[in-house]
Amino acid sequence: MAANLAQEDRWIPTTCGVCYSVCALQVHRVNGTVVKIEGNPDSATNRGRLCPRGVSGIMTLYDPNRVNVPLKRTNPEKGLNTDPGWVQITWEEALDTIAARLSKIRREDPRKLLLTGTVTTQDEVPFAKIFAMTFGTPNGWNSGAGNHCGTAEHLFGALLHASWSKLPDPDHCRYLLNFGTGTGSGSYYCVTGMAQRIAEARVRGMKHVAIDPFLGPGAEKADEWIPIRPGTDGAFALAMLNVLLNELSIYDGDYLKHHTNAPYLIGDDGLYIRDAKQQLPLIWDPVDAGEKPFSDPTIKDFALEGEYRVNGLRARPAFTILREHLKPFTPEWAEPITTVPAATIRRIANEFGQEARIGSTIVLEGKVLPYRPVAVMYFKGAQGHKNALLSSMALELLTEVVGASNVPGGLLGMNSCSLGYPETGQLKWTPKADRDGLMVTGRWPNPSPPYPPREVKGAETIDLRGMIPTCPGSSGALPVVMADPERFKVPYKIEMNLHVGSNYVMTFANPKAIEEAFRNVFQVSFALFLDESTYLSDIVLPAASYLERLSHTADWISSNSPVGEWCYHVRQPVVGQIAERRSACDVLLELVERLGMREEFYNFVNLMLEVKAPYTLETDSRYSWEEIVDRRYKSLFGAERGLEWFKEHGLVKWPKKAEEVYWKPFSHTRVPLYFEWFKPLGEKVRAMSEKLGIELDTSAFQPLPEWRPCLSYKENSRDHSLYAIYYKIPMQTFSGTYNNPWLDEVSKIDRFAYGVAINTETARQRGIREGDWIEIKSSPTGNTIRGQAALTEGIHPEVVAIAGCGGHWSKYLSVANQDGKGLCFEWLMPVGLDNVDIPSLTQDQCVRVTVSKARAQP
Amino acid sequence: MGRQGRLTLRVSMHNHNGMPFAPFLTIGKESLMQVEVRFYGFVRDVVDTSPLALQMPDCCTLRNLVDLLVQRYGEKLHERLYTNAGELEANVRVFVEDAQAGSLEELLGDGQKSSAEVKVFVLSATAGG
Repeated sequence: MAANLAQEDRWIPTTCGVCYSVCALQVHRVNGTVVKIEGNPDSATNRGRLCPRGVSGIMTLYDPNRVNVPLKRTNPEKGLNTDPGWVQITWEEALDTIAARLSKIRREDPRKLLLTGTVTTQDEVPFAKIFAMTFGTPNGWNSGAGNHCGTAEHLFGALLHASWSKLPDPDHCRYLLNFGTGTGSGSYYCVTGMAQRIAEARVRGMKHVAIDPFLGPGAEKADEWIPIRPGTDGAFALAMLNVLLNELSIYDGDYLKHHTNAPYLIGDDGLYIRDAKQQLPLIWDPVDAGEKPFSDPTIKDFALEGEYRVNGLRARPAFTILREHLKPFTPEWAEPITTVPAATIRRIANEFGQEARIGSTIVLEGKVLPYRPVAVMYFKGAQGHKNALLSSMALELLTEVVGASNVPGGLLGMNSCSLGYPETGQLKWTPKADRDGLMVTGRWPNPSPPYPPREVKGAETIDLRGMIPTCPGSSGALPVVMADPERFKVPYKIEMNLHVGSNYVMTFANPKAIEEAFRNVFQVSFALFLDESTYLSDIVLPAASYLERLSHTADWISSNSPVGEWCYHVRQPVVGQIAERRSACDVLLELVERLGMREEFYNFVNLMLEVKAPYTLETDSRYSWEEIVDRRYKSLFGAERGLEWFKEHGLVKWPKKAEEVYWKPFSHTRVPLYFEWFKPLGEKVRAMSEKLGIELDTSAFQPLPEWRPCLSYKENSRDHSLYAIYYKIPMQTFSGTYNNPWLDEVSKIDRFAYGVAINTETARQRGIREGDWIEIKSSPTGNTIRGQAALTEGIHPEVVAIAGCGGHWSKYLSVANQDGKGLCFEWLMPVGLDNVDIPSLTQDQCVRVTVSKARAQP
Repeated sequence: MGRQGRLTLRVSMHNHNGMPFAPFLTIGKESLMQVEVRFYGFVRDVVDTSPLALQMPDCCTLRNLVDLLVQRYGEKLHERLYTNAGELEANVRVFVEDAQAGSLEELLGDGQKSSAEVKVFVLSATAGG
């Protein structure tokens, strides 16, 4: 009898997939059932730690609300609240229907296919992108992040750090100026690893200053909180820059001369002055008293200041122009905009400048490197506005002028430089200089990094990204163009949406406008749940969750820790197949065969997944998903480290070298302090938009930063006297986690997670008390949402703050769709180009609202 | 065989069905090589993506080849592949015999081989973030 009780008892290594950080897991399985999830202490990414979302995955795996079989709608009417009339179909019928649709579209015009996905399906979406590329469409939308993407921040990540995102050096930073990010608190990149590392940095003595409208999950971990009016971070940064450069004269001259375009001579037309022979940008050598091409080996010194005559023209170094440009932006100018006292701005500028310790060095691995222990962080909060590009530029220049970019203590690109896996030399990339000496990223998630900019083309994509090459991420224009392609001279309409795991209806802006854009599209959804976006679907496929599927590697450049070790993991199924759930990658391979795309697809897989001989996919064979993953691992890590090795060991890691982490002193690339090419690019965009008859405000394509008010800032009526803002919390990711009972329980403990943060005095003036139900009415959309007031002194008095993407209404989400489970902020935001920063196509995310006590209190 | 010959020789192109395209340019007295070209990706709406067979002098560069294809398929293909400065767009990759070409000025032949397989990938800039 005892022998019959013998149990399977295993710990299986894999990776988390609830957000984009890809933390390493150990999953405890007993007799085929997952009973616990823990962090994997072997991983350099999260070092054994997990956030609430990570440990709660078991509840999503076994959620009885999961989609378990393929479904098709029977109700032809589509709407946000219209029951689709789901009926079960076989996989065969589903695939036949999908393949027939795809085949027709591919024959007619492949651009009519759209791919939507989310960053939490970081393994499936890149594979689906390969499918879409092969298919021949340029149209994709990472809609799960939607407006929560830090679009303009990613643009400057490419231009200044050769990376998608950045983090402070947790080992050496001493002063973190944090404009509203959740780094170190449970959101943002490398989430749990950085939470631990930032906590250690605090113990070590790092000061963390949070500039944020709300003393929320990010700011509450700081040493100092400075409340600021939403959308004015750029003004704060401009005033700081002015204090640093014009009042305190604190800047890193050596860094500016050798690693930026600060010494490049600028003419009165705003462009570089170039030498006649090679057309290279010129600098002024003060020792030889003459102009020289920036790369001239005879240069003895670079002038940063002064005014010169070159070829009869006035010529000034970019740095001189920047200093002059900043003079009007005094702390006194910024005070009424930001509501931060001028004295506070001066103090912070002084602290930041002093702590940068310009001129100091540190010895690491026997190398003497600059030591600049300050970093400026910002993401969605500061940049998610109409002024995204110019505000981001100001925030970025703070790090650049003190030389704290990619050096010990400073702001580090998330894996800008890799010397490769030692045993194979694969996974190797490094930033390079172009002809003008400016940096080009070595690795980028998309085929075209923002610099050098792509040619400005007509409206060949459904999101204006063909016309505006500076948009690096999710385009705020997509729903606008998709709803009316003729207006934008797009010569086709989207007919089909291949929808991989995002709930885009709730993650962009006004869901009613999103419904209008998507309701006439044939939508196939790979879905865990019948969420709000599936109300617009024609076919729903039962998706395998991250605990049920194999990945070709979920890691990407932003999931590795910025310091310590390189670490690449496996994502593998920890249970057998449940019901009829299948991984999207498996299904896409089946569709490749049905569409006769194997030869093209395999060539694309070899190219995009870096599968090299002898592991390349040969077109006369048909490979399973497991075989493709195995070949990729072997190609990257050698014959000994195929899929079976990874399944057993979970990860491979090796130490990062100083010249990988702190790569800037080793690099001959320069970054722009003066964004010279923005101006001619903007002129091209304007010319193209005028040619096509599209009204676009291209005035923000300018080389130096300034502050411009958001639409909400201009609207100043008594009726709409408050700003509503959105922020991220550690216990939910976008709109995809609200049906998880454990996360629901944790969220209920925190009165802000499902409530509306409002200043105590602001609430008192409106007769609102703690726990009262309140109504928030949007000025631009007219929509009203309801939630319970959570009173606090820790919020700017002009602001109400709403967490995450709650407020679900799908009848199939039995936990999430109850009253009081958060609010859907998106109902407050309008869809339209007036609310979009044109150069980055960022959606403005602060809105004016009326807040009042609800007449009916449950 | 010298590599300085003028571009005055006859080139012939066939699609996978063996149907000939009109000749586009003629090139000196160089030896001819068989070239098979195939397009992949975001280009299906402007070109035939089935394999294309050509005969070209082995002194031709990749730029000669791409220009020839642009001549065949017109402005739309030019716009999809080239910047205004005449360089390949960042999302275009050209491979010759499975090796990515570093420059359009590379020669198609090496004086030894009699055929070449060229793959032109046009990648879609679908967004991250």
